[in-house]
Amino acid sequence: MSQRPPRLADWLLSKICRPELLEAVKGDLHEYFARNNGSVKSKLHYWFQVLNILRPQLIQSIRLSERSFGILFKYNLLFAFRNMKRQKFYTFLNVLGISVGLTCCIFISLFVLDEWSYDKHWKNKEEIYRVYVDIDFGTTQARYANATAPMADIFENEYDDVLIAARWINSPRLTFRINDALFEESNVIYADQDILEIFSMEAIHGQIENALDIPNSLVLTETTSRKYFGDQNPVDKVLTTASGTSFKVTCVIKDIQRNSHFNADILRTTINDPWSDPSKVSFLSYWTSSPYRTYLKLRPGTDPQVLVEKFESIYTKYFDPVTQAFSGQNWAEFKADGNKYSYQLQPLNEVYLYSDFQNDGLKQGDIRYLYMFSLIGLFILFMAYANFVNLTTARATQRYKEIGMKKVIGSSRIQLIKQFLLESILISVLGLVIAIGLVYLYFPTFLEITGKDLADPLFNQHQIWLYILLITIATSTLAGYYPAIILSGIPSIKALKGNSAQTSQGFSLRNFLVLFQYFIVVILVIGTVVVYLQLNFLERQDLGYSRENILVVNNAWAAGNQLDELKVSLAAMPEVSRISALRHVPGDLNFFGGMMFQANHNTQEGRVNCKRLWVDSAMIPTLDLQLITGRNFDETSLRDSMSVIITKTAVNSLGLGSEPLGKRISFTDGKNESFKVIGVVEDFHIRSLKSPLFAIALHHTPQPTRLAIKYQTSDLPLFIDKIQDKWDNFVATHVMSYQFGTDRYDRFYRSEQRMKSIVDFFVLVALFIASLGMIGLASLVTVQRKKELGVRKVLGARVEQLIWMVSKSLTQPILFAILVGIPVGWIFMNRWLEGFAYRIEIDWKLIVLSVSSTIFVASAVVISLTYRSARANPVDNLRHE
Amino acid sequence: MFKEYLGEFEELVLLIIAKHEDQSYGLLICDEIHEETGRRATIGAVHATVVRLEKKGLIETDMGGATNERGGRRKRLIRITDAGKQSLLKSRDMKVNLWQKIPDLMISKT
Repeated sequence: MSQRPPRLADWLLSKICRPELLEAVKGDLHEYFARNNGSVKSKLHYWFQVLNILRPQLIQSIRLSERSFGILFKYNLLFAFRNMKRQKFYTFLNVLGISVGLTCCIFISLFVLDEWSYDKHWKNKEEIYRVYVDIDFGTTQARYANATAPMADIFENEYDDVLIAARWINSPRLTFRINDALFEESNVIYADQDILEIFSMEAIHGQIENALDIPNSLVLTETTSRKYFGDQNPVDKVLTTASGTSFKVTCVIKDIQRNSHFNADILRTTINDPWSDPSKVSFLSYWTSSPYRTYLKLRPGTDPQVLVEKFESIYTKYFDPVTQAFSGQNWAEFKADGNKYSYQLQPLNEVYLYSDFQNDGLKQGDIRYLYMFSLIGLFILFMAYANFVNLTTARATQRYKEIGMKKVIGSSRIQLIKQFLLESILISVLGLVIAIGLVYLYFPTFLEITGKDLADPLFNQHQIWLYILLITIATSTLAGYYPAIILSGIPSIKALKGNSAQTSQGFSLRNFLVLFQYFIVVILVIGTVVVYLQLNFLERQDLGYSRENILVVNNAWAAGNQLDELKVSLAAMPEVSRISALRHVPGDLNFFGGMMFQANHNTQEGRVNCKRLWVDSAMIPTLDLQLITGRNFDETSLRDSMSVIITKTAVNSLGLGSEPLGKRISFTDGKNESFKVIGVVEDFHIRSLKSPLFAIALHHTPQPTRLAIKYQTSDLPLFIDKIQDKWDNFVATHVMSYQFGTDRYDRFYRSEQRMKSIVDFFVLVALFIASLGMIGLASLVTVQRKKELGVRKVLGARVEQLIWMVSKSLTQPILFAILVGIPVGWIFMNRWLEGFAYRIEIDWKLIVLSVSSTIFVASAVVISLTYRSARANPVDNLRHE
Repeated sequence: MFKEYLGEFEELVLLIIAKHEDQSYGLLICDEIHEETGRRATIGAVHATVVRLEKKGLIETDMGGATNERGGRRKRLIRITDAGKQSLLKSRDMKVNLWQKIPDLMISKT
């Protein structure tokens, strides 16, 4: 029955509309609604119409309803306001705490919901799976989120349950020339025609059918199309690259949604992709190292696990020649040796949040961070409301007379509970209003830190405002309930007597809440300190090569055969101290991998997992690698094409002994070449310190593609400008693309950096809210124990004794919190550190540092507040009776 | 004097009521307004105007005419009173009078 107008709206209508008009108005509204189809939009319209009834002529006047609820509500509201006004300080503490808590909560919900929304928008998402490969042989043990070029077709042809299989792979940048201006497109992928179909891309111009089946065809997204063609239909138009290749636009599709695990501005056909053409790459590369993102669309109802088990049949059918070329075994023997190479399926909706593949290179979220942030958000909100509960109950004694009086006059307990609930909701709403202001104020910062792209914090696709409203009402009711029960439960006689002697002893809820607050604070503080020290450690760690003052020019190949001249002219600049022309630079995301072994020792044990870099003789001095023994490459002769320089780790794991020079090593690349070791360098880290140290082989390259420049300058922008000038002299077809050595390294830790800035922030917030609570409690306790303090002082107690006496009761739960918090924080952060191959150890100094800072803040608050009362003249404290 | 003053929207509603003799009701007026002027008036706005017009004595209302899509609820049928007709005529005369006083040059040329 979607044809029914929203009930809530009708109920609201019957409450607000004048009874004598209700029938006619409601009839009109229903008739209006009956014309529409009952969609969400028409329901919203209906709501709009109902809310439009709010006009003085149409609504019931409040005076008309003589029911007691209305009156009581009015007076309760009045009392609540008066009470808030009278207790300005506590109201301020509460509202401040709650608004900060809610602000954090809103930002966290925004982040979590947005991460959660990734890949939820695809049609048929339940039937789409990404293929990944699970490898375990030699010393390689890895999972890669891709499959080799021929696999997609094999999957599609061999199994009826696979409806479509499709692949895409990153393409090099395309630089288009339009009227002598160059436009660089970096977000380009090679995609199969079936990618368009598997992901149900929608065409705006042209046809999806056969869009990528023609050589040199391009599919543009709407935004890209607008960039080049405005509002015109670009189908069949031609885009020409700077190097002269012409592409024909076959189709314009809707932009791929922002919250998708992959994104592209331009899709080009795989027909032109060298990797997918077996005649252009070596047999072994084609079958083992062409990294395609591969997706399968399964017949609805297919169990992916059952399908994966059937894959064995294709390995036996197709893999024999591959393993023969690789290790001289057939597939069965290869497998019998305990080797593993198996394709697996990952559901599409897990791709973004649950992936931890090597070399993934895609946008990624991390489900663990989502849980962590949600937990932190809940904790912070909890802390804010814990303050509220504590302050309200602790202040109960001050409201004894009011409560007693009301009870004597005849107020029931339920009415009192309602009154206190209303007060709590009122404070929450006030906090919410401030929180919303804060959210809008800090929204740009939020976007910057999280890298998100949202238009409005509250009214976006995630409907945050709805959640926040629900959370506020739910939590304020929950938090208001306990004080309401306590306050309303006081016997009226006791209340009227104003008996304030009862101070809670032992393990009360108040102590528990304080304990829990500081427990959270301690964990967060330990977290921040550990994250800070670990990142600092990574920053200082010697990588074995220098990344300071290094500029990497990535597309130097664009200079073609003028690369040498470009290099010479750059080297002539006074700022440039060294320059190296090479193919691979430490700090790249991907490297050629493989296994190496001593020539003629091609056995299971003899193989070592390694990375291979093709460089020139200048690379070692430019990047400050340490040559331990042997010599560098020699540029003057061609003899070094079969020479190799290896790292110390490589020497050790190959078992080359103390005389590595002159020994020969080979690689499992199917080429059967052997290289002579001419030098050994100190180990260096080519990727981040999250990965272990690799054995590395340096080859000499005759065809460098990039430049690494070591420079010394005080005016970096000017230096870059000068390089740009030189570049323009030699290269007209490409925009220079460069990176700094330090940036290249830092990008490995971007997610950790992000986590650090977020945790730093939350620890401040948590400490802030906890301190607010402490301030409130400490000032209350000193007021309540004023007379006691006065008497003690008259009898001769010293100031510090008094401070100690008052602080003791307040700080006890904090000490407990620290005792519980340390082990929990320790365990938690040790888990986090396990993600690093190189890590610090958590030691006692660190714990002492973090814990003492917590104690320091808490006791500073308590002591400064109690100090005043302890110092006060006892006469003032005792006089007014 | 104050009671006789007719607002622009009130006049529009009153004209539509007059057009339908005694068969007009809230939603019908909304539709007519959209049809005749292209403006969208909400049901609330129309009902509020009807209440105001009734207070001024320019219209009378009756309940009647339930239909299925209204969930069996009756309509509030509206009929223009003599005072209403007078007020419409007066408003028209006043405007015609004013129109006649505008020099031709002022408007026809633009």
